[in-house]
Amino acid sequence: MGAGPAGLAAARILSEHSVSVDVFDQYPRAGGQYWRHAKNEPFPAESFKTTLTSSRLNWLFECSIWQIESEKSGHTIYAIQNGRTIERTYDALLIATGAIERPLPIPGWTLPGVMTAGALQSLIKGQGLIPGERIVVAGSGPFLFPVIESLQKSIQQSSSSNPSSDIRIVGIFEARKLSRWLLNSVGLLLNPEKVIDAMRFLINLKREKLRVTTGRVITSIKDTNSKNVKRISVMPLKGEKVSNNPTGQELDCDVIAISYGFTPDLTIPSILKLKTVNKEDDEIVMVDSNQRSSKLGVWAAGEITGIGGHEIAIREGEIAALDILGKGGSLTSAIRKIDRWRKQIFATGLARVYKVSKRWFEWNADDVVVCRCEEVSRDEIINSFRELGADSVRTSKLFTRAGMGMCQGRLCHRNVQDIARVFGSESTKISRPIGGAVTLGELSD
Amino acid sequence: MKHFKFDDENIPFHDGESVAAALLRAGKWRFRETRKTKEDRSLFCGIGHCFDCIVVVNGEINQRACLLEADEKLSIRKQLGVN
Repeated sequence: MGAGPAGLAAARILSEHSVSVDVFDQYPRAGGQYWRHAKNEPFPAESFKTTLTSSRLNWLFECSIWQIESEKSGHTIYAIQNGRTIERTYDALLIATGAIERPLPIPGWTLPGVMTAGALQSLIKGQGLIPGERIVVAGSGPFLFPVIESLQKSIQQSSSSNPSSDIRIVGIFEARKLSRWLLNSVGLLLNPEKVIDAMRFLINLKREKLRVTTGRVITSIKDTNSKNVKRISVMPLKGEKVSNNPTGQELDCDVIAISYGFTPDLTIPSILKLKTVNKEDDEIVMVDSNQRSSKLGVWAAGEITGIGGHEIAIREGEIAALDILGKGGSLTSAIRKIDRWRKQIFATGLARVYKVSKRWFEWNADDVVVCRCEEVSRDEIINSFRELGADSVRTSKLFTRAGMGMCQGRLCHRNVQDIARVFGSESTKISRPIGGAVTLGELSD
Repeated sequence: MKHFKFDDENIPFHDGESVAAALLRAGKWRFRETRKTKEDRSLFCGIGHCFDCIVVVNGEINQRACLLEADEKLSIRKQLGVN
């Protein structure tokens, strides 16, 4: 399940053996978010091209899985493709459904023109569109780098093809100070190539006369009277708190791309009731060294077992596939496990460097919409804990409807979880009986 | 260039482009109004997760503009609440 880096890496190994494999993905093409590409573009990762055309693999694209039943005879997947339900039973399942981008609620973040950094990336790379003229990129974490890089590249292309175009990046704000990289010293020692990546990025920025302002967060976004122009307030972040020293700044822009990293998409693991553990405040699927989950015959790989990027995801997908083939103890698997270990140390360090403050909801005294679908605000959620007796994300949802809208909590769950950790007492774990939109007709069948 | 309808206007699009991208290219940032506060919303996550960019497509509500490929056969309306 999932044709991103982890799923494809597993499919590549499985396709070399005589097993029959179905690959499910909700998008029309393989690649996941990392190798997202336009319809007429070649697949971005050369080494997977033959996998995509392998006759051993059966691709089920634009397919949304909404239920899985596990019995002795196997695991039965129920999915919808083109309005029809597919029902198929398997001996082994590999879940590689990736992560969801995590923006933080900021007063004004529902205004048109404010989007996730991933949305900006998908418009640039997938659609060839730079959606504004004065662009701000803000948030925290390594994902800001590739977004800024592709933005720079497409701005250069657009000014060379149209000299009158005047598109500019007017601000880059990273919440965490560079000094926090000390928290990842071991990771850097084990992964020296990452230092080279970072240097290359910083040199590129300098060439374009851009700089990343660190230790700053956007605390409000206000509509101006001028068409689509917004005024943002940027304040220093000291530890977990917004400070007034040095004083903040205001800035006008039309597009604001925000990213505070990613959170594992536990929709399908929660249908299967897989055991989860807490890693750097994120709930992740618990797996053993061969990527086996808590349920027999179910493996998990990639971001759902811990945010780490595509390279770890590939290794995990390969390790899972080898174990599915009964080669979990082989030398090929052992070599991949060592590489996974080295990369995981870096990823864990990175998660510490760019850890999102649990107290983000205190950065601005003004109330803010947290659940965008149901328009539920921070103060309503806090009130459900303080006054109404909610003690978990789930009970707060019953009082406020936060997480009950069209996106089913995909965007707000992680943020409500932080509020629940401060004001609640009960488990904040996710539980979802159905994995996607399904009609009553399909359910009754 | 090919077009699709958005309310009463013709919106041009490139082949393979999403409805959301074509709308933004044409400067149309307001895709829908929310149910409770009638706030304008637009593209937000860009990958089909958030459902903020929903529009009415050929009479069918709640269609995600970021996932939908632009086509001449589409007649699109700004979604007002659930209509």
